[in-house]
Order: sequence, then C-alpha cells, then structure tokens
Amino acid sequence: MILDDAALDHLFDLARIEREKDPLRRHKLLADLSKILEHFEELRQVNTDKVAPLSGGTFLTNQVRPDQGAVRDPSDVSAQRDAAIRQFPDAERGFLKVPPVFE
Amino acid sequence: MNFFETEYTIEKLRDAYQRRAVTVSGVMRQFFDYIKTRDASVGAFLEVFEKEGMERAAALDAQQDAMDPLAVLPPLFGVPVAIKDNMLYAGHRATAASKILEGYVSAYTATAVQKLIDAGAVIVGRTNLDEFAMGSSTEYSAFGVTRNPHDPDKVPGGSSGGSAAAVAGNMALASLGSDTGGSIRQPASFCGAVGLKPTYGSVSRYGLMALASSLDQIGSFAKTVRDAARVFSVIAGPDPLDATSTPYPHENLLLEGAAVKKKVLGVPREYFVDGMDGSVEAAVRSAIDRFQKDGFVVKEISLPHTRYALSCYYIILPAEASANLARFDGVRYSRLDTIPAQAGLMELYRKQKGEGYGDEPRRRILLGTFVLSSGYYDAYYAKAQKVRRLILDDFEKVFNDGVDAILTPVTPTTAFAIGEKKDDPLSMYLSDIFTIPVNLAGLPALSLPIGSGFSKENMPINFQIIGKHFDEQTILSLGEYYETYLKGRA
Repeated sequence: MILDDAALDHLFDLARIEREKDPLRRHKLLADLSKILEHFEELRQVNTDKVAPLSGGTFLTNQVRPDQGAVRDPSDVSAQRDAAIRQFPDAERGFLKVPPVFE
Repeated sequence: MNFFETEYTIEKLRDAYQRRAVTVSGVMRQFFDYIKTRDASVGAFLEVFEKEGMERAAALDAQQDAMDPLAVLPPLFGVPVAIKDNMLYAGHRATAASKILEGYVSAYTATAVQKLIDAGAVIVGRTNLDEFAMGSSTEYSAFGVTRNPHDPDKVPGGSSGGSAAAVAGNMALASLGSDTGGSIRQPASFCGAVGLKPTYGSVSRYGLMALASSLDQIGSFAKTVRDAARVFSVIAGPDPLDATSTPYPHENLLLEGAAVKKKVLGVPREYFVDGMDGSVEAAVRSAIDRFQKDGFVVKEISLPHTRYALSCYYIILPAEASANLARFDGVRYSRLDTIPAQAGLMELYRKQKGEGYGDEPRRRILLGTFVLSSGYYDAYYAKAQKVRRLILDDFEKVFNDGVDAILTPVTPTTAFAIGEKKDDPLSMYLSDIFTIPVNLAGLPALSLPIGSGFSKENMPINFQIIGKHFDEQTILSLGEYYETYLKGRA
C-alpha cells in the first residue's frame, strides 16, 4: 500500500480539506486511492528517457495584446463588478472581506 | 408538426421559421410544456428558464416581424439549446452540481453561451452533470440522478449526462457540454446523440469552470451531424478573453461526397480490447465495414501507447483539478451556511471543502495533491507528462503516414445500470479508455450513432471519428457521410 493513514491525513491538510473522521469512510477512501495509485504503476514500464514532458495537447503560440484589462462589453464593467461583489460571501464597502490571515 | 419526434432537427425548425410556418413563441411554448412532462422521468435539467425563455421567444418573433421576409435568419434563430451547469450565464445560478456552489449566481456569461445567444438561440435551462464534471455517469451530482431517456434504470453517461439526455429526450435541439476525458462523447453514445469534442483551443473556455485546463474543451450535442456543424460554427473562434483560443478558420465544414471519399481511414488495433462488450465491437466493426464497402481506403494502424492513456490521464487531471478547485474556498464564492461566522481562515477552508465537496471531487483533489507533492512529483506527474508526449506522437505518426481520420469505439459497453459502478471509482474510470487519448493529444473527435440492431437491450451505440488538430471538417464530413447511409437504410 502506497498510502497509509498518516499520509492520508497529511494530504487532507495539504489540500485544506477537513480530515475524514468516520472510520468506514476513511477505510474506503484509502482503499480507493491505493487501488488507483497501484494502477498507475504500469507507467513504470514505459521508457521515457529522452522524452520531453508535454503540458498541453496543441501547439499553442503565445498570444500577445496590450497590457490592458480585456472586457467584452466596456459599458458593462461596473455592472459586472457589482454582480461579482454580490457573490462575495462577506463584503464591506465593495471589498472582499477575508477572515484574519495573521493571528 | 411534432417537434418532439427524434427526427426533428435544427435544419427543419429553421426551414419552418423561414417559411413563417411557426413562431418562436409557439415552438417554445410546446418545448417548455414537453420538458415539464418528459423531464419528470429523466431529470436532465437542474433548472428550466421558462419565463425568460418565453420572453426571449416573443422578442425573437418581433425581430422576425421587423425583418425582410427574404432575409436569412441568424444561424440558431429560435432554437432551444440547453447548457451544462458548469458554464456561466450572467444572472443565473451556476453550481457545477456541487453543494459548494449551491447559491452562486454568475456575474458574467461564458463566451460560448454568449455566442449561442447572439446567434438567436433560446437558452432553455441548465443541465445536470457529475460534480465539477468529474465522473462518467452523472451519478456524482449533488442534486440528483439523471436517467437515460432510452431506459430509466440506466445512466445517461457523464459527465455531461444532462445535456446528452436533454437532446436525446427531445427536450432541446442542441446543448453544450464540456469534454475533458470523454464527457461529451461517452454520454452521446449512451444516449444516442451526436457529440462533438472540438480541437483544444477551437472554442473559448472563458466562463467554463475549469476542471483540467490543458484538457477541457466545450463542445456540443445535437440530433444530426449537420446540426452539430452548425452549432460548432457558431461557438468556434478566437476570444481575447481566453488566451488558449485560436484563430483557426472553420469554413465549409461539410464536404461533398466525392471529396469525403478521398479520406484515408485508420483503425487502431489497440482499441479493440478484451473485456469489450461483444455488441459494441460488432457495431463498430459494421460501421468500419460500411466505409470499406463504399470504397474508402481503410488501414489497420497502431497507437502503441494507448494502454497507458488512462493512468496518464488520471494523474494529469487530478493534478490540474486540485489546483483549479482550490478557489472554491468559501472566501471568494459561496460559503456554506453551516460555517460559524467567527471561523478563522484555516477552519473556514477546511470546513468549506470538507462539507462542500462530494466524494469524487474530494478523491481527485487528494489524488492530485499526492501526485504533485514533494517526493512523488517526478514519479507521477512528470512521468505522466512524458507519456502524454508519447501518446501525441503516436497520433502524429499515423497522421503523417497519410491517415486523415481514425475510427474507434467510444466506450467499451453500452449504458450501464444506475448504481452499478458508483462505488468503484477505478471501474468508472475505465469507461473512458477510448476517449481519453483524444484529450491528452488535444484532437477533435465526433461521437456518432451507428444505428439500431446491435444491442440486445436496444440501447444506443456510437462510434468515434478522431481527426487531426483543427480538422473538424474531415470528421464532420465523414460523420455526415455515414449518417446519410443510415437514413437511406431506414
């Protein structure tokens, strides 16, 4: 088994997800993840010496444009901003409100 | 006129509008009424936009009244189109079928959706999906199951299961889906619709909730290849708001018969594997035979790294997804009601994600976190990126050897039963083995009904036509060629 109990908690912490406490669900999650990771072992059979990694499927070229905000409809900017602000869980005077970062 | 016959298409509806035989209000009234009865047993929609749809219909009717009777109508004038609920539509809820976004309302509209609207479409509603497009059956939705329109005990496929079921159930004439590893092509096959996954970069992803940014692509479901080509020509094109979109010109998408027949077809031996359903293999072979009998050059080809695509994909996808989904942290978008008002930042993150994500997103975020973590990065993520290169090289080699398009199955089986694979993620993942390589290589592919008479339970079976980068023209033309043969047979 590649993953053990402690490693699972470490992953929960890295991903900022609350640790699963239910023992049955933990067991199932560990078993599922381990089975998937074991499946990945087959990649070891592939010789990738001298192969350059590929990060995307097409031959993308850089697209450059003036360093200005791009909007579809310039007349709509303030309405869009207001709509975005309305979706903030917590806002004050039009700013996104975040719980204290340094305590 | 019955709009809810399977035979009804965008082309036919356009013709009726052009002749003024029907009004948009009349057509949309019937569609919304039909959705009410039909969707009670299918569950394709998370929300139906009836009120505004009818207002829009009235506005379109007024627009047509003011037009010269001989003027050509906009390409999707008065066409009912559904959108997958991972695309933004300003002023409407967008949930990605996740509890974590349950109350979220879009602040802007996705480019692909805007292009539909600009082309005259009526957006009928947002459709169900696997949470954040992670899944192959739509069972991983936080908001209920979608059933296959051909058999209520079977899944519609996924992740764009709602969009596939909406079209196959005749509740819309087209719909948008997103395809990261097969999420348009596999449900198209399970439901018997035409599904187009365009080339990576040909349709703007602006306003699509990112799952895996190097793999995601917006595409469409339709009743016919001609309709699919029409929708593609509307949504394709460069967008200053998506730097990965490309200015490739897509004109004359459907070639005439003589030009189509010059296409050289490849059949990869690695796509006919043990464990594949006998009826699926027989059906796909019969489609290949049809091209051969009609005089096409059909070559056996090899794509030797196919068998590694699944592992490669399920490393790259969770890695990218774990980064993309980090933004749903309860600070920027919706926050769950259960989180205490005085929660500190770390407590907020942990509770929001712990309670907000369903099992599959949580599994994939943990998996992605693992393959990117210090000490494992090279063994998993870097390795997968190299294998991804080899998979692309396989395709490049075949295309460079003169093959114009590749014919394969879409899925190893027909639609499976609801509940059958839900608790076994690896077996769920295996239903994508024939669609995943296309996303890894960024290619376009069409999923197209083979015709009836192969499945014992009379469930639909599609085959897949894979093309070169930006060569949607070839796959759509071959698709229409096959479809014409089917119509002649019926």
